[in-house]
Amino acid sequence: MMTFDIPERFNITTILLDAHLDGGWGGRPAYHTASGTITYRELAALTARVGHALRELGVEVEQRVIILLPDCAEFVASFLGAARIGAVPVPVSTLATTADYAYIFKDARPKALVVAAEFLPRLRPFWKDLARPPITLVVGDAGEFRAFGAEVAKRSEKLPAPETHRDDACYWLYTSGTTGKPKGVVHLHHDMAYCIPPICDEVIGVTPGDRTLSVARLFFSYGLSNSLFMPLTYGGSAVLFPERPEPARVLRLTAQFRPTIFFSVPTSFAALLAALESVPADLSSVRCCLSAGEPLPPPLFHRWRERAGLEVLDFIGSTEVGYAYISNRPGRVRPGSAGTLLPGFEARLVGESGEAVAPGEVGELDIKGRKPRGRLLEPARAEQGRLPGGLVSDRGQVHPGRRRVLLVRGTQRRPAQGGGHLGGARGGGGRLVGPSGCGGGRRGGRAG
Amino acid sequence: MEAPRISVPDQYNAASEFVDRHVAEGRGDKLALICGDRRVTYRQVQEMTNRVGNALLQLGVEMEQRVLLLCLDCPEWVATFWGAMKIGAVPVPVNTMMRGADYAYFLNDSRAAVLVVSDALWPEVAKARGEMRSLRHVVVVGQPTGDLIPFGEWTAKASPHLEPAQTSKDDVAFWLYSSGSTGFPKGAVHLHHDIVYTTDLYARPTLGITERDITFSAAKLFFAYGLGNNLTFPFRAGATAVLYPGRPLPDAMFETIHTYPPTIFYGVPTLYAAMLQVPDAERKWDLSCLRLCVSAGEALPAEILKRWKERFGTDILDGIGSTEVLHIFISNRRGDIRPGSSGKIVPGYEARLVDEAGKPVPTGEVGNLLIKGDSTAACYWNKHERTKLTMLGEWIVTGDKYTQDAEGYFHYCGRSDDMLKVGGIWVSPFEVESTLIGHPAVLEAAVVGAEDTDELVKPKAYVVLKAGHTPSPELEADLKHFVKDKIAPYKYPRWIEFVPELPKTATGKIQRFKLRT
Repeated sequence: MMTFDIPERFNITTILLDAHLDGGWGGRPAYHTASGTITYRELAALTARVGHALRELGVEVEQRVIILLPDCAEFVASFLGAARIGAVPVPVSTLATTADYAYIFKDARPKALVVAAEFLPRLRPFWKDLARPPITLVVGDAGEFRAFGAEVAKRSEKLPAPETHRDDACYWLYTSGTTGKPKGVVHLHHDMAYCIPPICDEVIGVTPGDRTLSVARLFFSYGLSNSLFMPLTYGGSAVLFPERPEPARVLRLTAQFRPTIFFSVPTSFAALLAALESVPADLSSVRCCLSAGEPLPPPLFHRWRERAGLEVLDFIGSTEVGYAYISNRPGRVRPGSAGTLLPGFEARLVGESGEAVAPGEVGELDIKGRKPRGRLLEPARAEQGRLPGGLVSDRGQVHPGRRRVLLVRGTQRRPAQGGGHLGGARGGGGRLVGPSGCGGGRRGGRAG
Repeated sequence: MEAPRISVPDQYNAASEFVDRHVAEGRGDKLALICGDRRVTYRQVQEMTNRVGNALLQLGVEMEQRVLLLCLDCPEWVATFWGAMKIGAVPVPVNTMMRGADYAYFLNDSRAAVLVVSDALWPEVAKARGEMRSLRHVVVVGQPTGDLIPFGEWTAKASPHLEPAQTSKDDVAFWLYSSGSTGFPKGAVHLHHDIVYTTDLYARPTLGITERDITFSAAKLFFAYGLGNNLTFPFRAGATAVLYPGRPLPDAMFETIHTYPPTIFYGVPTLYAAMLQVPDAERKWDLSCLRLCVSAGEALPAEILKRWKERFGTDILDGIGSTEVLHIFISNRRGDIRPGSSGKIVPGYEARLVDEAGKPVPTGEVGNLLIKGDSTAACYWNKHERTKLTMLGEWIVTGDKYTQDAEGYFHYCGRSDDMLKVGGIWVSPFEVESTLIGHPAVLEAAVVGAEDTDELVKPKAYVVLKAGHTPSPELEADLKHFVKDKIAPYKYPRWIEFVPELPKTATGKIQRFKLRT
């Protein structure tokens, strides 16, 4: 069996798009939205158009493209289109203030910006202070700027992948620290090949038939994996909606689009439980619920299982690692614990001096991403139509990951307290806290 | 010795700090560069720098984008280096002794769209022109060449006024390529704040450099060693640098010292040994201008230091630095020289000697040298795995093996890989071997370091010939010539020994250690 060795010339979009088109799966749905389904073929075409538009307007390799959009097809195509041409998409929080944006725009030095018209007023105050105002594509009323729709409509639907290196920057996400200004976390093209398969294969068992719905928005690391990297890696699909993920809306969308995998955060699970008292709901399509962003209190786990008939798999990930590295497993959940280490990662709990602490002692958690999990699918298997290509896990291997439950809850310095975490609890999720919101839930800061 | 306190503001452009400051502080008419008959003041350097910056902007170069700099040491080299940095672009100086294929690699790896090249070096680059994917503009220094952009006209048209780009102290300032034992050279990515730590931690306290000094470096500017010696150190102090574009041959070095006259001379052990071979040098040339000599690149044998001092009256301060740390971090000091030792840690840097498991070794035992300091490279460009193996948080793995004695002096013990330092420059035995194997008579080859009569290391090849070929002095000469022709000439094997077979492990790996003497 071929082991997964990322070639030196590598662009993440070839796994997320080309692999599926090459495997003859272009007609399959990639996204479900209120205005209809977007197939892989359509997404690849829109991605190519955005890539051409950015490049032809002057965006060069390595230059940043800030994305300030609600969850929508334009977001996904802008992210993939920028990465496709070797530029670097930088999704930013839709909930930040003018001062936050001013800092990020100075720090990221964007060559281009894709923005929804509704956010422009928050950018105008510092626009004149920018050393180089970005090339700006506006979704919605463009005013004096370029209209996204018109700019991409006139471009080609074909865009060969550029010669990016596997170690080239792929995207940035800003994470706020307990002190100081937000920090741009720089992820490389190879990173997602390391951190998507472990939880997808070992915990969720993602297949091309899966359909995700995420309460955490795309601009969070958590949401970006839930609604973009995960479904597109496996040839599955995601439900995409631009509105705030209020409980009634989430329940209505779940009934309408019938997702199989449901991602949320503890505060949102609490609010959903409250809403279930009054809103008719159909969660029968969901086979797997996941929670991250802050610890899931055990009472919430039990109530959700009673009410929805489903386990919530709590896990830990971070913006810096890229996605999940410790997770509970189906049928083996230990409520109140974050679960066990995922294969492909190493963990150690260390004291102030960097020495390992004794078992059961409190330590700071260090994580090492070890090897890419899975392998590039052989063309022969893609031809057989068993899977659409892309990445699959090498399931035959014995994973040497530590199996015992790590005592991390409430012990290590939780990144969720000050940002750096996947961030689902904040922003959109933070608005879900209902009257019966769980007492232990923390409501984080504003900017991801 | 206390480490100086260094504070760099968040918004910081090193080119502006190292060039504009002298003009602003009234040193505009001070001589900055001497190159043959040319005399260039700080004001003129500033004007050239600004012109190059503006000319690069006109070619479409943006912040963070790389500009490949392939020039012999000359004022244009200096102006291109500072000019690119001043606009927030990233100069990438490269070794002038390489071959066309190497230049294609540097250009493609760095994605440089602009190359500034000396006329004499262009023919070698042109050989691989077809492989250069990102190169769009070639500016030539010297004689007009084909349809290349002439440096003189290019800068004459550009404005002499330029505001520095608003770079952060942590923005990328320049890259320097570093060779490894296997694989392609690695671009060590240095930041705007890096330079000031080398000047203020090493050059000022260790060399005591002031604006009265005149520096002269045999090591070229494209080396990290030469870049500090003859550009950033004098430009920090407001001193004067003597640039010598030619090959650093012993007579030329004496002649240059005699003529200009520098106060600080920087060389490498191989050069000092060669200069000591020149009969009657101390009578032919006056070296009394020198107050200090510096050596780095490989360990300086105690005998060379002793003979140099006897004949020329100055000490040689031996130290060790690296491309990744940017300059010297362990050094002997004025008044505290331990011959044969690399000296003590430069205050402001920290050193650790560790075993294979990363644990500190006891005093006097051999360990792998790790260094911590604020001038170290941020990463290797697009070499993430190598970066992770080398840059361990605050510490950097040097690849050198050392002992430290009870008094704190460090003693060099060799490399943790197979790399050789030849005349102060890294040579990969693998590259020399693969070149030799390309010769029609060669079946197998192994290259190791062997010491010459001055106890300095040079490549030696053990060669197994194909059936039908017999060893001969002609074949030996032919093989040397073959290597010089294919790769940078300094890498050729000085000795070739023909052997019937090479020592190998059960899995067929060549056991180089058995060939070392």
